[in-house]
Amino acid sequence: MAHIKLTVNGKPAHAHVESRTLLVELLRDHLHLTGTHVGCDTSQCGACVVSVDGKSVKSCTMLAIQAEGVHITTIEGLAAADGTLHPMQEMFREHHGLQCGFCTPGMVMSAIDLVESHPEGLTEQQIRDGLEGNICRCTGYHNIVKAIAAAWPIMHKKQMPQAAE
Amino acid sequence: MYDFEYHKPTALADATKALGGTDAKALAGGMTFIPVLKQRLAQPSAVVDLSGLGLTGISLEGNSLVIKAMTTHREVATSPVVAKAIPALAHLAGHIGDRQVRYRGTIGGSLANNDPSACYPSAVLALGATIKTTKRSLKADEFFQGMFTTALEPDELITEISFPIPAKAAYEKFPNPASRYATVGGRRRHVQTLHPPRHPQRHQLIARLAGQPPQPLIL
Ligand SMILES: Cc1cc2nc3c(=O)[nH]c(=O)nc-3n(C[C@H](O)[C@H](O)[C@H](O)COP(=O)(O)OP(=O)(O)OC[C@H]3O[C@@H](n4cnc5c(N)ncnc54)[C@H](O)[C@@H]3O)c2cc1C
Ligand code: FES
Ligand code: FES
Repeated sequence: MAHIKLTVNGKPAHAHVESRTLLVELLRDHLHLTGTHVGCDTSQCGACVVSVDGKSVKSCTMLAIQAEGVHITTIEGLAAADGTLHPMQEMFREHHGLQCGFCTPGMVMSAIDLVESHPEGLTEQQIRDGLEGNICRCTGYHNIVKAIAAAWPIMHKKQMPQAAE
Repeated sequence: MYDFEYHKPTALADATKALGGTDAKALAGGMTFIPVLKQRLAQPSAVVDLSGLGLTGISLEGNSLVIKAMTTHREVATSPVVAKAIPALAHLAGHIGDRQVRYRGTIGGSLANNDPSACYPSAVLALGATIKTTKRSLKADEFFQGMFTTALEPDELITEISFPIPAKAAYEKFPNPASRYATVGGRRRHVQTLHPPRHPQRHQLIARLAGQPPQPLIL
């Protein structure tokens, strides 16, 4: 057993984990943050995506012990204290970017990373390519793509540059 | 997943020493190895995490592009140095798996794994790269020994890969629609060796290469 310390959703967290404990197990079973889902065994579905030091990571494919000292944001950490949703969550709601919602936490976490790392703008094709690691069985992706495009101007506080559309 | 001892050495000598024990395995980005562990297809007694060894970085040395083993696909894809020296390599790295796989997966892990559907092995072979390990330097032809098999010994680690900079290179991937891995690990050294086009995708490929001089090209 190893004792690890990290920051989760802005607060210090610690846990005793086995070497084989996955990051997603640390989040769900030890820290009871069950918003992060597990949808596969093969690192393909993206339901488990969280932000690790600002990068979107499949938490089912990283050991908990490797998270010593990192800053993690999960879907639970996005809304403001008063319940105001993150613009990406709000746009998923507005554009009906979910049906059953199983893939949604991972979709939202990946989408935030995608938008943040493209301050120059995002084309529809770039959004679709950027979601390569997230699988949705329900929506057909179309409304998810719309939600992400709509969140871009809110997150960057400017119009989407014309050239990028 | 079976349990194992976890080591995160900060010196290469400690890493190879830890790997010398029975059934110890190296962990790089974990994008292949962790799924293997989850499915209990491997049962190492110890896992040696290479992320504390400072084995990342991209540099130009003479007429070669040198990439250290723990450099991620994302770092290769977005590096201005790679984009200038071998743009085809940046393109290749930028199309491996998905965004999350590219953030963590490494060039060393991809080569050590030598999956026939992986992208980097074709580039290493077609560009005539040299693989430097903790024991020796190997040419691509000596390094790859067959599906999932390389010349690496259990306690030997890849440290860096040196690519001679070609005049021109291109990599075209036909991704499997589900896994996004490449359908075939194809490569050709000369355009002339291509068979007449039958497949529409191949047709496009030939169109793209038409008029280029006969020098090493990765397809
Ligand atoms: C959903 C998904 C899609 C993918 N799609 C593609 C794709 O399209 N194309 C592609 O090429 N790959 C693809 N991959 C694989 C990915 O590129 C991995 O990054 C790569 O195969 C392994 O690299 P890694 O750093 O994660 O290594 P790990 O998984 O950590 O290790 C793999 C193996 O290499 C050994 N090893 C690692 N580093 C070293 C070293 N320096 N010296 C000696 N041995 C070492 C390990 O012991 C282990 O046996 C995909 C993976 C996933 C999960
Ligand atoms: S649970 Fe499917 S990618 Fe992590
Ligand atoms: S909304 Fe059901 S899987 Fe995406």
